[in-house]
Amino acid sequence: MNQFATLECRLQSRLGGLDRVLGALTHRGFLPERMETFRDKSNGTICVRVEFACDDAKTVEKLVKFLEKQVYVLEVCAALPVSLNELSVA
Amino acid sequence: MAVTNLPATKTMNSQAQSTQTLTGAQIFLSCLMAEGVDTIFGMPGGVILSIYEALPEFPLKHVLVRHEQGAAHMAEGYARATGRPGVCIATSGPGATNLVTGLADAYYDSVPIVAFTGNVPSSLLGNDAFQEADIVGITRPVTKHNIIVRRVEDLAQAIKEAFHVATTGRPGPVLVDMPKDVLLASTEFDYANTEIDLPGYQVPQTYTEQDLETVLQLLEQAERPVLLSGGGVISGNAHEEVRAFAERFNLPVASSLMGLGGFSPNNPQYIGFCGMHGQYWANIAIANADLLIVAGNRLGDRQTGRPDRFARNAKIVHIDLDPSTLQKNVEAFLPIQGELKRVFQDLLNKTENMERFRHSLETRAAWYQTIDSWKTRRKPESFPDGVLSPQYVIERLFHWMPKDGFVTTEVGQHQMWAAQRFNLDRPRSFISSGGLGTMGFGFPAAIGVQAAFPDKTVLDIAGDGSFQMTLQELATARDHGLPVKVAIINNGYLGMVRQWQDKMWNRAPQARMTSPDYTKLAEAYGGVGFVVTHPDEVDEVIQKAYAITDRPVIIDFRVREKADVYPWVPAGGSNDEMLTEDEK
Repeated sequence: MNQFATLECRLQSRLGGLDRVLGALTHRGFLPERMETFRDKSNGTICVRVEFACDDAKTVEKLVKFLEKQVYVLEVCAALPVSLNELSVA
Repeated sequence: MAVTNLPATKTMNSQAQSTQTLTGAQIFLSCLMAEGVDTIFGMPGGVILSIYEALPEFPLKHVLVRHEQGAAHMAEGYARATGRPGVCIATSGPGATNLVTGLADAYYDSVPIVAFTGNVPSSLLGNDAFQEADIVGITRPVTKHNIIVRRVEDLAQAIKEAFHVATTGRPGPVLVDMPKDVLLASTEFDYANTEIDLPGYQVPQTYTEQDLETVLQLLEQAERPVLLSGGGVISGNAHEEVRAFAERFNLPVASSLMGLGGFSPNNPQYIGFCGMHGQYWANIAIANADLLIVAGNRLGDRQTGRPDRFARNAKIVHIDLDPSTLQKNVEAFLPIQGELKRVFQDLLNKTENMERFRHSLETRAAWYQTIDSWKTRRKPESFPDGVLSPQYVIERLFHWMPKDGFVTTEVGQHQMWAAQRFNLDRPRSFISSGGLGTMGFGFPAAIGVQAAFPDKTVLDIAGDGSFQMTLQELATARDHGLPVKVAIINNGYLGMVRQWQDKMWNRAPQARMTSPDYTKLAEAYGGVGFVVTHPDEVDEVIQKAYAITDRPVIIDFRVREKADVYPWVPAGGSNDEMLTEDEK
């Protein structure tokens, strides 16, 4: 795989939400290439951004749908697979 | 609400009289009462003893199980039969981990159960304490939601959220983990004013008027339509709307395994059970349909066979409450996300005048004739004279079954024979493990059903392999006077494993298995046992067994060893490539 997808989630600030995001990635075999997580002090939510190797847009769409229905997930957006060069430029 | 009768230490709100100071254990039980729970399935243990100490103060029926897996399946049986959430409870460590299979089963079959576990005191979490397990971590992938409660002040909210999440949207299991110190601590309790705080949890309804109009346009043009009724029709209480819609458009209706009972098999439009072991003509009808309306079915692999060949001549309208189910396994021409009950009622409201559908309706007689021709093209399965065949046993079990009875199954050949033959015509009357395929599910699930409906006939159709996984719950049934009937289709094999091994590799190592003497086993547990070896004995024994109303019953049907389930779709095949008995 030489393409990368980016996933961004905003989570309710309660224990367990982040684990569900990471568990969903792990179960599907995605190892984070880069990951950032922080508490957004402006609204008290948890933000997580993950880049992972994936060249199948359909898989990313299904992952987003799965995450959207997790109870502590407030918002999910994803950038579909692009090459690492494109990602760096972006 | 029981809260007003509790031995509270003091009343905190003298004006409303609704706030009391209670222990976590009392709060837990008060929440159950407030949620309308009447029965809990569980086993006590060290960290939840405070709950069991408080339990006699509450009018809750506690069914003491012999293994926590049984508690989870009993809660499932209760929930599937009643439509209300099932509740189970276990202690920390092994008690909690024993629930996992039941939670996973409920997750994949969308069953609303709420499981409660104790955990070690908060100060010991992470210390590898005795009977400590990270049960929230363990069950995260097999629950719709789970939570560990860290403060007694958060307990009532967590429980209220648990019942809300389990029972709304696509139903599913929720687990609430309660450390021992949380149960022992005290705080103010006011359930009526306890608020749910889950802003991300929504049950969307995204379908549009245009979606509905597109469905109607497709119905105008369709000459070979089929409606596939899934488990979501039952869990969404949409069976009346789906029936009315199917009747208005004179649609042939097939059912998934989980959908059995959602559309009456006595309705002349019913064409049968479909999927890997479904009726030949139902699968062929779907393969030849020009329009397939899928209602509340996730189109899993056992349903579709090879997904790129599934209903390949049809435009597929896929209607489901869960957005993640749409376009997941099979690409639909029109995915519609919404509550089935609402979607079908809206479609009915838009079609009071059926004039525009006249052409399509005029083609229906020919379509039914074609489907009927597929019914007669295949020879029915034949059984050797004098030999006890499993198919015959199941047909007779159904023949003598009271019309208001319930049937559960284990998983394997007997499950498929039962799905093909047990034509109960009520939603929630056929209860089986579909998604996870859990051997050992049927018997404890039947106990859960019987606990909810003590006066009804509840039958578990079992295999000798499956029954041996959870048979210790005979003691539970005996203790509570629950007269569950267990019909063991005893062929001396893990039958489905043997069938697949025979077909794929022409041998069946390790599928042969022994059984105890089930008659003696039943008697040892205080039940009644029968053994049947000849077809002539079947009817009399079934009638005797159904007449027993105060203790569990086992009927050991010694059936022929190597009967196979047909039709059968080999792995990776498409449903219209199924093998039938005359092609084996």
